Amino acid sequence: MSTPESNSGQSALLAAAQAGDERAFRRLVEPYRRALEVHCYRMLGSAQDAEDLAQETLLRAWRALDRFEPRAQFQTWLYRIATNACLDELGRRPRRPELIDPFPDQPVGAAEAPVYDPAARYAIREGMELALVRAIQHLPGRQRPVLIFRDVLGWSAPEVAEVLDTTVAAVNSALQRARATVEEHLPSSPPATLEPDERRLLDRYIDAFERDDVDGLVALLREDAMLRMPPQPSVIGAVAVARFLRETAARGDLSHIRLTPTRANGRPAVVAQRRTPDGLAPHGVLVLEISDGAVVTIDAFIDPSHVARFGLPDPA
Amino acid sequence: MTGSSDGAQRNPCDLDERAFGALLDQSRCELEQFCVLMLGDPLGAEQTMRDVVLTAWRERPLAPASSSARMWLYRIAVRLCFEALGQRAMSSGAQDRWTGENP
Repeated sequence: MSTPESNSGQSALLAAAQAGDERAFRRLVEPYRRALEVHCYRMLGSAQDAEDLAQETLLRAWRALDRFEPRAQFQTWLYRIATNACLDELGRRPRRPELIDPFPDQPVGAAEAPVYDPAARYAIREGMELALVRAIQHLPGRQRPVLIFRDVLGWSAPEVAEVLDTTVAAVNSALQRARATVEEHLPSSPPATLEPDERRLLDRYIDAFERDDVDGLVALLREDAMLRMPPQPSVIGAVAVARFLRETAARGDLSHIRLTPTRANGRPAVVAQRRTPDGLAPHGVLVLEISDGAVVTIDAFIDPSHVARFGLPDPA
Repeated sequence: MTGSSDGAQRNPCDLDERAFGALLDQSRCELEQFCVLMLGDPLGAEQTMRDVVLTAWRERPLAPASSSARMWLYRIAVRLCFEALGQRAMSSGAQDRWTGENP
């Protein structure tokens, strides 16, 4: 890491900071802030929290500064504080009722593709299809990690044997049994498709987008409909949701967004693509909750990477 | 499984804060995928991932000298996933769902 302050400059800043000069402390730590954010991100796996924890680290460093031994490495000391702050955070964090990323019940237009094929194990890598996740839950004991390591993650048998503390022969035999069980539990017919009434509602929803018909959209939403799109605050009320979709999500014209019906997380859903001068660009996935013929909740996953999972072409 | 970028092949005892962070960075996606498939439940997997990070950091000094950091991280993940499944099985009254096999 390059630090703008020379060694002697850093020593002077450190001495001033230890004497209580807050501005000197800021100048001293500023060059490390970005690296600390990266470190916190790696520890927590969340960019949002990383920034907070880097800030927390600097706060803790300021409070503990009089205990810092000037001969020690300042950078190492900061990393230690950051690590402890992240571990505290991990231990403290309650289970947040987070939205689960959209999982296709079946990728759009992929009905004929095999759901699971041990010979083509990498084919399922990105998909993590729900049917496979469910089938794996039937595997007892070590069969489960063996199948995941070998057929989904693509590890070699000796690697799997090492991590599970067993022999290659035992891995191979567990794998055979696991594959038989998984195939038995995978649906042979294509997974759930849309119910006729869901399909009709989705068609009207999509039609409202195509015609940029806000009133038509409002009519499909229950009065207290809610649009959830973390980390943004939820939008509540049919009119507010429709307006938000048009003005903010679709940038002023609903027909800028092209929707394709599908199912995700066991619910009706639409895959959204933006119309651009160069064609369609992946936009996100909206998972709907429908009750009594009206849309009650829309969970919006605005992230182009979700779109690919649903089997739509991803134009470069 | 990939080769020898920094941290992953080292002994866990030798990992300082930064090497540990780098190890997590390299392994997180695959580890998360592993936990989701083991538990069949993204929320439970997220909790278990947190526990893996905490446990790995705490148990670093206890790691066997012959172990690569990456293998050791996965051993912890396997163990904690089985613990989570066991707790779930016990709380739901279902037994032997995960102990049914002994290779």
